[in-house]
Amino acid sequence: MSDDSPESLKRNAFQILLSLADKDLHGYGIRGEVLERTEGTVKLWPGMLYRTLGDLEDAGLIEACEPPESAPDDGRERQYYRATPAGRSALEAEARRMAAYVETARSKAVIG
Amino acid sequence: MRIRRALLRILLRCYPRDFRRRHGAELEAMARDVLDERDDGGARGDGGRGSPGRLRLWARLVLDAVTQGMALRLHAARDAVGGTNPLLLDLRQAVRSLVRRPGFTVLSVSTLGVGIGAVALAFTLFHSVLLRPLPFPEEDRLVGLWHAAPGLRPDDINQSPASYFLYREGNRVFEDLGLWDQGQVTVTGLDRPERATRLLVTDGLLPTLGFPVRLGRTFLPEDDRPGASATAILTHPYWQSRFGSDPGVVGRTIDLDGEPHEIVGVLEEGFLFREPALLTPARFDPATAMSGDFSYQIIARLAAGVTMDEAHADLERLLPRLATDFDGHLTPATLRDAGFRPVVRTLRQDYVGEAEAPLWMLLGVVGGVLLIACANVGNLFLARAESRRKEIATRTAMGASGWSVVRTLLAESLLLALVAGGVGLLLAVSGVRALVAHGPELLREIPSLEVSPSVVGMTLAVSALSGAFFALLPSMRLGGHDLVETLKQGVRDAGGGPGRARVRDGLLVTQVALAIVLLIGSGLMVRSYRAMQDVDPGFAAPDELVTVRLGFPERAVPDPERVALSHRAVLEALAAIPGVSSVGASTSVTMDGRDSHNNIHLEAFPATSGELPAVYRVKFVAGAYAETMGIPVVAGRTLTWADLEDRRRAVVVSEDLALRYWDRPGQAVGQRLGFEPGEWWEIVGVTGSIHDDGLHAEAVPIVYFPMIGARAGGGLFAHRTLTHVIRTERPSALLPRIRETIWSVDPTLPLTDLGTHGEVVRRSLSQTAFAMLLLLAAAGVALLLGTVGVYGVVSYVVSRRTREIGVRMALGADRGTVGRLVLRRGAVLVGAGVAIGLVVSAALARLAEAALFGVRALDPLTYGAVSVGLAAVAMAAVWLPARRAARVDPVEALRWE
Repeated sequence: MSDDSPESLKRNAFQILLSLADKDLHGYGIRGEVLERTEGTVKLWPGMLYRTLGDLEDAGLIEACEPPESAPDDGRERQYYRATPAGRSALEAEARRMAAYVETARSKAVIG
Repeated sequence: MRIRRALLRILLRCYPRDFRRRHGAELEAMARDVLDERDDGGARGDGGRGSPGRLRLWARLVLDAVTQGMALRLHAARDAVGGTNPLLLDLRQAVRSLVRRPGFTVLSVSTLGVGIGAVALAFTLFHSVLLRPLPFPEEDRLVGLWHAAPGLRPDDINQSPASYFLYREGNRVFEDLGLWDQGQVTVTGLDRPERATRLLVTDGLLPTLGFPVRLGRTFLPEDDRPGASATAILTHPYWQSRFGSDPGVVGRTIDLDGEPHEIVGVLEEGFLFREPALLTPARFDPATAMSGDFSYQIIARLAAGVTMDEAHADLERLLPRLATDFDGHLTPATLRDAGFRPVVRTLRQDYVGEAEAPLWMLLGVVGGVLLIACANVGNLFLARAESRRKEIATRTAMGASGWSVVRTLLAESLLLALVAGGVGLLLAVSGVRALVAHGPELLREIPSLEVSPSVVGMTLAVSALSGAFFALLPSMRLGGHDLVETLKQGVRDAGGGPGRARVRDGLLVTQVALAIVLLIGSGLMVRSYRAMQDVDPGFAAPDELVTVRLGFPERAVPDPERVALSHRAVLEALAAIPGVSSVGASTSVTMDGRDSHNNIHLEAFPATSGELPAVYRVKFVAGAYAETMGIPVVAGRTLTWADLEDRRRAVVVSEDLALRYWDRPGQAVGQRLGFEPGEWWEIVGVTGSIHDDGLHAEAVPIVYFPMIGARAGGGLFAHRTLTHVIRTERPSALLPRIRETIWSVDPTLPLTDLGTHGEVVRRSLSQTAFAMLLLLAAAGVALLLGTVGVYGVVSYVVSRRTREIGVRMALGADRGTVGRLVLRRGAVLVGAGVAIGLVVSAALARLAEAALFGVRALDPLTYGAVSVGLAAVAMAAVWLPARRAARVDPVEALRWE
């Protein structure tokens, strides 16, 4: 599969796909998930986030979807996104690539 | 919250439209969520609490929107023209490079923006006044006709009714011509009586100008015949404001100075000539037209193909007939002796003549500021080019051609200059608004003062030029090598090169010299302004003088005697107000511009035949005019009510007039003078000289006549409109009381120009004050930019030479020697700049001489103080880096690099 993906995912795209791996989210939700998971080191500002979302959507890696039933009704219409199968494979390929790096680093005793 | 929404909307504008349509609502909602999370207590840790945190959050949002928006737009553009357009790549690289060095970018953009903004503002004024066409078709064929008579007076003489008839009937060169004069009339029959500006015109004026009517008709020859029924044409603004744009206004009647006038037409919008409220026909009688009454102006339209010289020759042919064909005091001998000749000027010259010199000066001043800004930014670019040698070396090593390196630099500097141009335009737009709101009245008279498309074009051109200059500067060397070659060489040589150092030094010297010129200019203006304030105007405490202009129209008060009594009644009522110490009246008050001149014959100094009588300013006064104005009595006495009642032929003259003929003012008392020989008035007193034309002008000799008197041919004359002057220590408190008092005497009386005389005096100072403020602002900017420039260059040189300084110290040089080395180098450069600046100032000062008052163009005090002051500031800017140089630790310095 990794042969099919022309280039590795950029950092923001990877983070977004990762946050959509197990649930559908809206833009602000993605920001919150990433912020929490990375302990505040990756901050997705609105322009940056939506530019990447647009690129991912154009590349067919994510798609817009209906809000899940569990979504809180706060009176705001929010656009939710979900990862497409192609998006999942791209994410998987990227994660494997990273894992391979980590393995190498471990075998060279760079990390424990 | 409403502000927040508006700000977010503005931020959204950063993104391309497609993107906004796709994500706009979500983007806005998310930005709001991000802002809210801070207000929730900063759970997510962005920005922190309080206003600084909020500001930081906003700054991040702005940065995000700007960078992402720019990236999206560049992508879209690249997709549109194909992926690898080198221009777009250059542009993208330029944006990146400028964003990467925000300090350099902000400093350059703001410095250059100020310079360009000043030029754009000056060019806006220049364009609106000098270059914009007048609102008349084929404007280049419109000319003003004048006379020169060097034997009579130095400036031009205008036209008389006789010369109008002579030129209109006799010329072979004009399509048509018209005569005009501007004056004030009292308009009654509207809701309130009021004074309005009236243009007295002959029937040919509107056709000559080619200006159309919107309603009704223009004046016909029948309207302009003597004894014709009175007609009037309204201008568009007056029709709008006073007649509510009533389409049925034609045919209605209004009273002007008591005479009913039928409205026959309304002018089209945009009659920007003198901005009158209405026009009336002059109705001169050719049979009684006087040849010597030069109080009117003529505008003519040249026939197709006729040159100014041909027009001049034709008028010269007609001129002798002015003395032979008409009555008046003009004889062929007078024409010859006074050197009478016609003068033909373009209407544009007449229209903008006075404004031209100051506008050129303004353009020169702001040009100087722009040059300083360019020199400053140029030095920043030089320093930057040297610090980027590594980057450029890498690029050439990777195969970039010399041309592509130059193109990158060019893209960067052009982009920067254009952004600065945008900043400059914004500054100019707000500057124009501020000028219209707070500038001198003169500026408010300029029709449609605005930043026009041609100003924008000019600004962009200036920006592009300066951008190209900055790009080429790093490669400029004495000897002029090939550009690309030089750049490559610059990559290799390590010290920046002597040529480049010379360019840098040259820029620094230029900055200092320009700052000297601007500082001396403003110094001279400050001295002029102070000299003017010190001038004794000839009267006392203008802030304690209230003036109000009152007139009794002939219709309401036909009898001259009643006019005098009515004015007296008002004056006596005003004098009775508690707090008023004295009152008087005159046809014109100092500096109000209502000058009137007459031939004055002196009995003791009869004019020999052919010699022209002297022309003096005359005023017609009533009440205690001199006492109220605070004009001192030098000899004899002033005019009293008794003189007026008894119709005594008594006058008062000013001291400077008396001293023209007699050794002591007192000798004038008892002498006689008059408008005609034989009809004498006795001089009963001499009062102090008055700077009647403003503080910047010489005192003007004046003859004061009573406002009512016996006419030479029998009957009485009385001046209907007088300015009443009221002296009180509480002028503003008494204004309402004064108004009530006047209306208690006559409720239908229109009063105009009610205010303190101090305002009039300040207006006389305001043009000099404005020029002074302008130059001070320019000089302040020049001083600031110049100092920053000197500091920047010297500290840059010190930092580049740290290693050399370290070596010197390691070899035994002490700290003092090193500091002096830097100081000496700075002193040489600053000294050269000061010297050049002094020479240039002295050369330019002659041009500014006309604007100066009470100070010589080569005033040693100004030149000395400015040189010493600027040198001190500049040396302070050198001292800071010199001190740093002296503190260099040799060990650290040698380890450096």
